[in-house]
Amino acid sequence: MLGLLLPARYRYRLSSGGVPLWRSASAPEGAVEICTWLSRSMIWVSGWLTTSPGDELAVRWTAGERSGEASAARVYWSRFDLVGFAGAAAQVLVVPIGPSDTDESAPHDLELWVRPESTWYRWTRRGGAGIAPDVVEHLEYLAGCTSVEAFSDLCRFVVEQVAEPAAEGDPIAERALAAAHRLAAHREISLDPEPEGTAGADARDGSVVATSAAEALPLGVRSSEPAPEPVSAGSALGRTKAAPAAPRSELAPSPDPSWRRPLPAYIGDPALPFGLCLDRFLVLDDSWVFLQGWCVDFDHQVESFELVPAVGESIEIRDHWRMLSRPDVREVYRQHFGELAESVDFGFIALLPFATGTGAAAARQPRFELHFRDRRQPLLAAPGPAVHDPFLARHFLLFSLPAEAERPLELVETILAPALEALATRCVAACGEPRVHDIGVDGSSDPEVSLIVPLGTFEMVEPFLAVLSDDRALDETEIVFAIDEPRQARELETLLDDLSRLYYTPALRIVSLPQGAGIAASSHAAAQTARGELLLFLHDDVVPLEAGWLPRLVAAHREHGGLTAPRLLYEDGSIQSRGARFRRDGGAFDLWQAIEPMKGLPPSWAGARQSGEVIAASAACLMIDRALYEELGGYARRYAVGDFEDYDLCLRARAAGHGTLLCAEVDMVHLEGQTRNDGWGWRRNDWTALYNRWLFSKRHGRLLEELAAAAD
Amino acid sequence: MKILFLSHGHPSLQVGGAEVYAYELFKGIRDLPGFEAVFLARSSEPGHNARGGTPFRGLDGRSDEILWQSGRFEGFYKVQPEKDVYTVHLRELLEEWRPDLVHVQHTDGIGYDILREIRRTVPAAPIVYTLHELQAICHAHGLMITWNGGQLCRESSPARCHGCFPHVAPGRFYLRERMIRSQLDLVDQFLAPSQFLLERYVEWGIPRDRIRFEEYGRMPQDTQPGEPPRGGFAFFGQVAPHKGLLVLLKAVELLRNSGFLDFHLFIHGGNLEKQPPEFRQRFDELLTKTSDQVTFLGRYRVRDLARLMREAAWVVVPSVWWENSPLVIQEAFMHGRPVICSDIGGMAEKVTDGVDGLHFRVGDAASLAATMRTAAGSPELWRRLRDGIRPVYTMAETVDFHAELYRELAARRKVA
Repeated sequence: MLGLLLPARYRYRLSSGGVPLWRSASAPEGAVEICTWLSRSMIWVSGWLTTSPGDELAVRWTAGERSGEASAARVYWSRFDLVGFAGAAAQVLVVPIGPSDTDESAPHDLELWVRPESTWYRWTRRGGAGIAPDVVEHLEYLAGCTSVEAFSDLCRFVVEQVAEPAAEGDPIAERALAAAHRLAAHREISLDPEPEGTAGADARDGSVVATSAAEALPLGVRSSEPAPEPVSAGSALGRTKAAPAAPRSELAPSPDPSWRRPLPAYIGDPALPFGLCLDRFLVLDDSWVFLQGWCVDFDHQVESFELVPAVGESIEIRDHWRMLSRPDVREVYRQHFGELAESVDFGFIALLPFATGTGAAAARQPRFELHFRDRRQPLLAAPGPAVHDPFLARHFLLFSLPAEAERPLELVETILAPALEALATRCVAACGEPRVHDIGVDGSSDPEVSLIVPLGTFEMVEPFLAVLSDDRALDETEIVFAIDEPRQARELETLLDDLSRLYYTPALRIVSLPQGAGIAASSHAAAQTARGELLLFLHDDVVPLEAGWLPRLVAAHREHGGLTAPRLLYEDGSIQSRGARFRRDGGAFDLWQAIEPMKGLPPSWAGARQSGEVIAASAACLMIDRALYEELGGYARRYAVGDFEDYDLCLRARAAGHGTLLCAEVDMVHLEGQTRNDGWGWRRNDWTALYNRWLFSKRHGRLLEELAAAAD
Repeated sequence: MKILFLSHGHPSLQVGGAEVYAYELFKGIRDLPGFEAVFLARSSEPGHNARGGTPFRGLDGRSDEILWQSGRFEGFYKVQPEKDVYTVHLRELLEEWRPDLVHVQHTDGIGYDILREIRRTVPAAPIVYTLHELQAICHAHGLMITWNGGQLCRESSPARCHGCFPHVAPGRFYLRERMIRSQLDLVDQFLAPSQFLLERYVEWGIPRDRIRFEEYGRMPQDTQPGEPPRGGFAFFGQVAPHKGLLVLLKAVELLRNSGFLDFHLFIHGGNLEKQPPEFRQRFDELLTKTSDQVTFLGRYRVRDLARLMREAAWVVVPSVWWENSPLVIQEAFMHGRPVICSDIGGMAEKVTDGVDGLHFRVGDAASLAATMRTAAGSPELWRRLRDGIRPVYTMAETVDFHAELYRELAARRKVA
């Protein structure tokens, strides 16, 4: 069970922050990952080392002006990501460095040396190991990604090191102690000196903790030999003061790490009939979590596969999952299982329900148990840290599904839609207050028209402004740029500052939302800050054919009310859009789809010059009274990433008695998809499109039905 | 009247026809009574802030010539990404010196958006722009030959340009044109050194009443007149595919194969090493085959021109692209040498077939061979054509033209 840890965060650290400092063949390797205060006189150093458990570890430290040498107490356990390093084990060392204040004056630089055998080795993070304020956060993290056994050892270690009386009056030690007790209770770990059960007793005797060698070894480790004979040593978990020395080679047989490359972290081995990988664990809201991964069980040995939450009942994953193909996994297993691997879907996704309010809490301590027919102990697994951010969760959700699946609409209805609905509410809430930056706004009088321009990339901004700035009719407008990449906001501010010094531009404003909010949410936020009586949603790849287009559009709009859109042309002059109507696609799902009549035809085609009512029009260029926009509640932000919000707005306006006018006296050239390097597109895929069409059909099916009937 | 000349280079740093022309024009105007002039030339050294805080520097202590490192250059939309080069530094210069008129000679390497800065900071100053090339119309270095097949292109469009550059969407070409056009709209008066160039830009959309033809004026050169060997031909120019050298060598091969050996061709020109390998290989092959009739002499200097012209009776300009207004034709005429050239574009315009030179069908080696055979075999023809050469338009004449134009624009601006 010791190989069941899937500490994704550690792997990350290894490849970036945790730089192995020793590289020679004879020297040990290792990296310091975390340094925090355990008490006012002790530093907690967490990382990994390729030393023998039997080695005495001395530590020499330099912290600011002070330095010293101490024999470090330590606890260690096996870590799945370290199988490529012979003998490597996760380590926590506690180094007494004498009384210290941890306020501003405390040393934040720390140099550590260890002496596993007779030589000193530098064991410090690159750039020096700063000391984090205290250990609580780290303990909470370890609680989420270590096995019960390893974590109970850790908690006992903390309790031993921070003796209760000594903790008095030391707020750091008190916090650490409290955290250890709280987390142990959370995971139902007893911190009694003589814990019940053989494992704990064995550990205190210094022998094996695991019940068998097979379980003691990381499952991912593959050696040329069959499973090695049990080694008497506490091979993967134990404490230095008790563990006998074991030859390093026996601790972790030299693995061939190459097989791990095509797959993410997982339990198992492509040569064995069982494997499990927990790829994604997304917190949707207080009641639902989403799990994605794959599971191989050729031998049908799995009896149950449960999520054991910290609070409430266990959940049998297999009651909720839906199997999907995973070509990448199949490719690996085909090498060992041939045709058997062909007929199986390895992947799964599952929506897991919790009692209201416990979902987020449960996701903080995800523990999965697999019970097997021929095995007394369950296998334990934990995914990497759960994803709480709703935008990130939405992204992972949309991109966790294979490009092709059977009965895709059912998948949308049963899993994707409820999950996205749950996230949509949180996404809207998480958008928070937009950041607003003004350039050249004098605030003297409100403009008549506010141009709302969502931006994905900035390549088009200069040509867009150059062409618009030649039109004096735009002097009295404002342009509100909407972006959802806050990191880009400064870049855009700089760019617009630069451009507005060279080009004559109307008042400019940048409105930015948190990353991933999407085009509908950011456009909506921009619209809410707009000062114009009229809003014109305008994409940056839309270029007017000639000056004077705006007054003509405004005049037509004032006469008609509701929403107004111009004709959109391709760059060769042919018609791109004269508004949209809708029909059922007649396919397997029979969803509603938009049709743009006369698309691709010459602009002088019979009837193409006629203005008139249409059912809906694209937000590439779409005008609406601000008052009506607000009355309707603005763009729907429930569509994934942003799509259909323009058609949706037109249809809601229609339901409220306001039509959409196609004004053929104004032509705009729409360079759709030709000029932006993806822009908003990178976050979309076929599933996004299917979900959005499904949602649109669900919201407006009845109205569209009526309109179709009226047209016949 | 204060005239600011903007050039994309200074002849003391890079020798190019347009730079030399712009510089001579500047000196001519500067020396006229009633005019002051400043010559602001781009220097292509990287890093405009290399001097810490200013892109400008002087040149050998001259009082009215300034070099500037004008930042990077965005080669597609042809704008300056480092706007502060304009909005901080150039603005400072314009406000300081307040020119009455700005004559932009070339914006290559700078950006068409420099026109915005001039218009914004000195709105009363008319802008004159001399169109030396077709880069606003054609992304293929303004050559207007198809990028992959070398076919002559008569008109740009988003779809056609996309055909030459398949990785660039037609929409981007549409926007490129709109963007460049919106910048060029700020110019009061365009000048074009050939009717060919003028017509191309009028077709593209520059209003005819804002563009005038003005031939390059040339400074007098030393000539060494005299009867040259009648079978002597010379090529001057870059050794590059679009200059038609393969057509020329092929014509020589055809003449040799037909047994006509009474002629010799001198090729003067550099840059062979910069050409694509297929071209170099083909060039070498043909050169080897025709070595008895052809001498390849490489790079030449303008001051050697008189001596080199003496060896040849004819100058051949066999370009397979349009040529806007080739200086080599003027040079040939200044030295009394009739020109044999392709029958298209700026070449056909500057050389009148049967009057001061001979045309052959562009890209057609057989046609060129026949023309060379006629030329080499007839001293009377040579003398007749040499006598048909009219005097080349001089720098003094064009200085007068420009002075008059500047006064006229300033007066018109005042009335408006």
